[in-house]
Amino acid sequence: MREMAELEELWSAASPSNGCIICGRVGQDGMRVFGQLICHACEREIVQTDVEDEAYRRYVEQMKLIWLSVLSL
Amino acid sequence: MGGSEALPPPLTKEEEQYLLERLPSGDPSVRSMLIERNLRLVVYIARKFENTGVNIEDLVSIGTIGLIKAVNTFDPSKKIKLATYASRCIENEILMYLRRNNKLRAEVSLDEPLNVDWDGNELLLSDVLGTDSDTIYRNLEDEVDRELLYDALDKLSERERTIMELRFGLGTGQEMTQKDVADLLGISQSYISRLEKRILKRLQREFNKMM
Repeated sequence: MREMAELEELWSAASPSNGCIICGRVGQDGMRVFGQLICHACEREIVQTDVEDEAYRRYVEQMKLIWLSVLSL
Repeated sequence: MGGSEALPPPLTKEEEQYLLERLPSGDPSVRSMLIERNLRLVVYIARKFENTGVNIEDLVSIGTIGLIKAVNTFDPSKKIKLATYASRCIENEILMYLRRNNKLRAEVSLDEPLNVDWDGNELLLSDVLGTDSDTIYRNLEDEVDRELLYDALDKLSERERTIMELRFGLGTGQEMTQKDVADLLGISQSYISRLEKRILKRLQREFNKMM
């Protein structure tokens, strides 16, 4: 049962929403990669980010949503 | 993760040209398409780093960040292919991450317990690190080493000694590269390299005799 719940959670994370996968804000303009939205502001942040930045780990984690989308296609 | 079967095929030459012409317009759907259709590149490059201890999910995510950077900074007017530029950016992103990771792993705390005795007392790294009295001994040892080195150098020919002095900054504290020494003495760098190896071997022999 627990596995099922985890799968459902994973599935809902992989399902593209109107929120930016990085900042979570809804209704922002941006680009969609496999349906996952990255708003303009966050895309700019990603382009300028460095591996030393505090936010870097979060970007790495959130990028995984794009790959979950690819696998759920 | 890591399988690229689900990924869309790479762009044809014509498709890529069409999109690259529109890239400067700032249309996000152009960037999306360029990213999606180059994700295979990310998987391909990420797999090369699988033996680094970082899991493939992270490598692929880091590579995706590199690809996003590549598509955003690519200049279509430069005579370079997007795939070439993107590969460099993806690889660079992963390498930077690995370098940072290795740096963090190399850091140790001074309060790191090295050992615990029967009474539960911890032996800390700071307990065994050099103390002030230690540094005096170290200076003395340096002095003895220096004397031994100069004795050994005396056994070399003048030319050999000059090369060693210039290369390792003996007396001046300013080391020179093999190329600089070669230029200064008007001989080739490979000759300096060969001489250096020979001289170091000789020095080693002289040292062994003295110890």
